This record gives sequence, structure tokens and C-alpha cells, in this order.
Amino acid sequence: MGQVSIKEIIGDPASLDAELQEFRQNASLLSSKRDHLIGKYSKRWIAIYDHQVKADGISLNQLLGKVDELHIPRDRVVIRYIDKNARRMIL
Amino acid sequence: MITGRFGDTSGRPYIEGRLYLPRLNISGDISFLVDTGADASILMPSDSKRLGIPFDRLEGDNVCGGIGGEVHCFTERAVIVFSDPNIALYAYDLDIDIMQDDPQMEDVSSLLGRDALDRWKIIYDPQDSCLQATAHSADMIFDLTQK
Repeated sequence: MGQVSIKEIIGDPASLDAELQEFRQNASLLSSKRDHLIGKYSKRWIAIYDHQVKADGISLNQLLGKVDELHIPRDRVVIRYIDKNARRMIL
Repeated sequence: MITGRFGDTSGRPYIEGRLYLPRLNISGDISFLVDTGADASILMPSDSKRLGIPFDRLEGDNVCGGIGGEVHCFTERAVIVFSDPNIALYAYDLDIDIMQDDPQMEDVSSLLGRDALDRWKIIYDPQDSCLQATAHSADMIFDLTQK
């Protein structure tokens, strides 16, 4: 069986564009609200959806459990570990 | 123009895109860390867990080297799509590395490497909070201005 084409994979381009714009807006809160997030959620995992923090947890697994309980789609939610003193990355 | 951001407390450069893994019928939105030092794009454990990647179904046995040493990665065909809002979508068909599950790496973002970045011209200006990419090419471009 041949490979599925890109066109078949992505579906409706306009819908995808709208969803990506929304995801980007949610992700941008990590930048624009960083002082607030650090103050409130230091050393915790957070989930952002619909332009707000919907859940937080002490571990990734705990957070994903809450995301599922709230019926937030995992494929569209922004998750991030918040730490003022994030470890230095040399990638 | 594909617009990114400088994120978090770190000032790291991020660009958001939609990842599709056709064989696994899995897709999801990812904040990719832009990494011109990465030979290839890689999906890190936090995103893999979030998207429910079934590690027992992954294939390939790739070794990825970094400053921390070598890690085992799987390899999967992926399509990654980036948006120039209301203008165009740029889709890239590539083989992405998927890092094996490792709790120590959960806080590391997935990387957008040179397999995609080499096809862009990028303006990187953290002083002006400007991270913008112009696609020289893509495997498929969707014109969003045509109704």
C-alpha cells in the first residue's frame, strides 16, 4: 500500500490554519504571562487551553490525568513545566 | 511569514506546528524549539506522552548524540505543517526521531532541526522579540487566499 498523501493527511487547510492560530495564541501565554505563571505555578506542570491555565500538577502524569478528566483534547493543549530557575540546556 | 516567539523564562525560540504521524494515526500541535544545531527534528518524551504515542509500536533503532551523550530514538514518517495565518500552510514530509521515554528529559521541548529549517530563511532577533521564517520551499503549500 502506498503512502498517504499530505493532502489526505491534513484534511481541511482552513480548519487546520484556524486551529494552529489558536494553539499559537495559547502557547504565547507562556511568554506574555510568564511572571504570573512563575509566581503561581513554580515547579509545577501546567496545561493551557482556551487562553487560560486549565490544570496544573506536580508531575507530567498527574497533569495529563487532570487534562483527561477535564476532557481537554491532548492534541491541542499546551503543556509546560514552570520553573524560574530552569536548567540550562545545551542541545 | 511563519512567526515564532521567544518563550518562557529562558528566551528560547519556539515555533508552533501541527505534527502528523500517519502510520500511527496520531496528530497534535507542538511547540518546537528551533535548533539549528540539530541535524534532524525530534519528538521529546513530554510531547510523546501527551499525544499518546504507543512506544511498543514504534520502529527503527536510531542513536542520537548530544552533549549529554547518546540516546536511543525511534524513527517515524511525519508530516509537520506550519501556518502563515490566512495566507498559506507549509507542509514538510520527513522522518522524525522519537526519543525513548525518559523522565529526566520530560522538561525538554521537541526540536525542530535542520531537516526543516534548511528550507527556510529565518530572522532571529530576540532584542525585538522577532522570530520570523520565510519558506523557500515545502513538500506541499496550501494557498489559503483562494476560497
